[in-house]
Amino acid sequence: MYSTKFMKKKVLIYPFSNKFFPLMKAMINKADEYEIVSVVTPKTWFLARENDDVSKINNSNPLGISISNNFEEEIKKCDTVIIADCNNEKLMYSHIVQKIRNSIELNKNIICCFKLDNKDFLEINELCKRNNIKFEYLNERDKSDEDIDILKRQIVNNYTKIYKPDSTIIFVGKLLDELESTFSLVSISENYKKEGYNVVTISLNSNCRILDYLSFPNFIFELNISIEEKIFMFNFFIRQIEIEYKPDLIIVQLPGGMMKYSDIITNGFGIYPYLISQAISSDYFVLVAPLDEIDKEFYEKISECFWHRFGFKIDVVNMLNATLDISYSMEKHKVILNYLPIQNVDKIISKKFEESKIPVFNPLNNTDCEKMFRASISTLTKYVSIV
Amino acid sequence: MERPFIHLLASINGFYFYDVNKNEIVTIEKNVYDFLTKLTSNQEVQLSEEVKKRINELKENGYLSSNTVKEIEHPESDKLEYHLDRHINQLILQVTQNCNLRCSYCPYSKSDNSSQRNHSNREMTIETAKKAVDFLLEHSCDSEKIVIGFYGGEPLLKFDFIKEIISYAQESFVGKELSFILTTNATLLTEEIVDYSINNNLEIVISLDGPEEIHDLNRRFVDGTGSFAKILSNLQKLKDKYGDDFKKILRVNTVMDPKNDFDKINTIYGNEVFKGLDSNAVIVENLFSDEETIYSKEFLEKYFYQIFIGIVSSLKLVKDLKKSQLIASAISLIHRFEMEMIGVRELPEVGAPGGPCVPGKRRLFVNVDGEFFPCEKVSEVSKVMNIGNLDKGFEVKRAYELLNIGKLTPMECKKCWALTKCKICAKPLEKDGRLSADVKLSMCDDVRASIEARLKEFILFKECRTIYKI
Repeated sequence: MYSTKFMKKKVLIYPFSNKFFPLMKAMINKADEYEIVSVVTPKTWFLARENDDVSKINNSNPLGISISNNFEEEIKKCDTVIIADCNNEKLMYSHIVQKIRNSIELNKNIICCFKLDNKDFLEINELCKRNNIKFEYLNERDKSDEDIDILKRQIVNNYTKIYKPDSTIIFVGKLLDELESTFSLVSISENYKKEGYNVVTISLNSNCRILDYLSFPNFIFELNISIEEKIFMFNFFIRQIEIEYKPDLIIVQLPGGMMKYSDIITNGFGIYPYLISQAISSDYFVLVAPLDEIDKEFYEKISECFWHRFGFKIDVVNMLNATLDISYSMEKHKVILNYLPIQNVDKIISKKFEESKIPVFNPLNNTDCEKMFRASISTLTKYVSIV
Repeated sequence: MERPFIHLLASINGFYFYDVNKNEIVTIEKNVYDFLTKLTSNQEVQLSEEVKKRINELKENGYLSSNTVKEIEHPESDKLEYHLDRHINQLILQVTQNCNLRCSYCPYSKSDNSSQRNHSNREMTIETAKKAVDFLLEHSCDSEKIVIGFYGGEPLLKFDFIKEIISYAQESFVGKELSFILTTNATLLTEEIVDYSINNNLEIVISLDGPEEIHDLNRRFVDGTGSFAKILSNLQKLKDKYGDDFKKILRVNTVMDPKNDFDKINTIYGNEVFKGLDSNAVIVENLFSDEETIYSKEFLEKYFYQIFIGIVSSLKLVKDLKKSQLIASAISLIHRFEMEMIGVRELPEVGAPGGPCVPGKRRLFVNVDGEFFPCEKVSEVSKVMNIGNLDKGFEVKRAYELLNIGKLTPMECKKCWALTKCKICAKPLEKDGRLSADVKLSMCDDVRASIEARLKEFILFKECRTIYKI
């Protein structure tokens, strides 16, 4: 008998949102593991008409997979329900728990990327066991409070200097906190894997656990740990990854925006990227940026600024189809994005950035992803001789 | 030297210019101010070495540029279709055109009013309302928060209808933050309505003009009796029952008629029932009326004195200073203006005056017939304000025209130092079935004066911090 791990799963993805969308191409490429039979989203996130493509949720190019609002109808087609993580956790919580229970009643296996309360997790786990249903929970905390305390003690006693990793390090950061950098993260990671590299990817997006990426360590966000301790702990975390996985490449998705955007849109003040940049240095940096017809010199200027602040320059810019709604954002004191048709990105890149010193790519465009991958290999192989 | 695109300002403490390109106010010396005054008014001018040095310093730092916008077009114009297709934020339903009051200044109450419709018994059908909610659902996938408003006439004449629409919307908008607003004259408010509002994220905005003697001058029932006593009795009962919960869902909107004494209007907030309620006050508009708004001396003097008190209070100059709730929104506008004074690199090549919002995105008003208007404040009988309907969807070209009122007066707008801070929108510009450049130009002096006053308030706040160390 084969283990279920190697049996192809016919999956339904719910609730599908912009947070899961960046994984879709990688999921489609894992055709031996997953067959995506249904993608379901609440109608308020996208009102699906017959044969609407999933890409419409993000105003981008078709992927050849339909999107629906009808969970009850679509669940009949699958054997496994992927419960996706999303940005509206509180509003969706009770609906999602109910959908998990409905799925169990219909004997569907569950892969859950969504964070459940302990009580619901235990109940659902028990229910699945009783019904002989496979329940994979992919949102557990990477470290308990106890583990963090042990780690802190180890660091205080033994850690006095920053360890330099042997693996190549790629950082994926973003100009605005609200931008989705998972497109770029997945694109780079999967391209390197395809070429046979041993890649460890550390992601903030819980959905990426499906692609076997590691969770971003939560101690970074804890309030009762000092900044210095966090830096040493992150360095230690990378060291443990090197010991355990012996990767060629470690890709890190940076939390928060890279720097303050304005006195109103403070963007996390770039605190987390600074903290990570002190823990490990980056060999290659991808900046995820909003759609903007800004002068190409802008990226050169902020690249210099990053060099002085973080110790790395921008190697490549990934421009998304999200634009900052400046007047509305100023009024609401938070970032409000508009998701314009993806063709706008290609147009602006060819109009303004063809000759740019720092290349600008569209991470949702396959050709651009391939070019970006080749550019990164070319840059990184220059460092091979440096030991 | 080319004429810089600036506006010169002076206070008792110093001299300044507002740099239109940089959106900043810069302190200058008297001799520089005098030089710039002559330069900007095309007078003959001699440049001393001292002034020349300072001017060069400023220019090196990017100030005093003569750059102006080359083409007038609103920056959201090319995204208009996107906004209307995926990013509507608020829907306002005209539940009914009927009202149980006949307020004297209300344009709907006048029978000979050609620029706005009149009160009628016409009501929105439940099918039309649901269709409007569906339309919002279909055109708001990129909006994080959704607001649905209920407007009239008097919407509480149809409370069961409102409840049905709220339930329908709550089922439709699972997974998105959803709230509701109801604008009412409060004569029909009951415990049932407040209970329901507390449990369903429904904010109630009540209209109140002042104490009984003022409120009842304008806000009367159809039979001519005043509505204040009824409102007070309703609110007293509700406040006794709900206490602080009542404050959470209720907001007061005061329409001040400036022919009245400001202090008299202000006594409304001395009443225990209204104390502590969130409030907003506006001066009555005469947009759809032939009657001129009359400003009494008692109103103007006392109103501006209260603004002064509000500023003194904001500066925390006097402890426990009692300020009028009626000027809270005026003071918050001053602070908002201050927050918008963020430096930029320069004016873009293509730009537009700052007044209009994206029509249909912010407050899509749907009348009883399912016709679309950019907000509830524009004329419903105007063709130029009509931006589509539930059957055919948006008329993007009309919305584009309302967004681009700057194109009515491109030459004047390009040269105007108040361009980016302009507050004129399409609402008052209709004349003889068209948007009128003449009407727009007739408003420019007043708008510039009000923006200059804002800039001076900004300077005052700055001087208080830097010179008086307050």
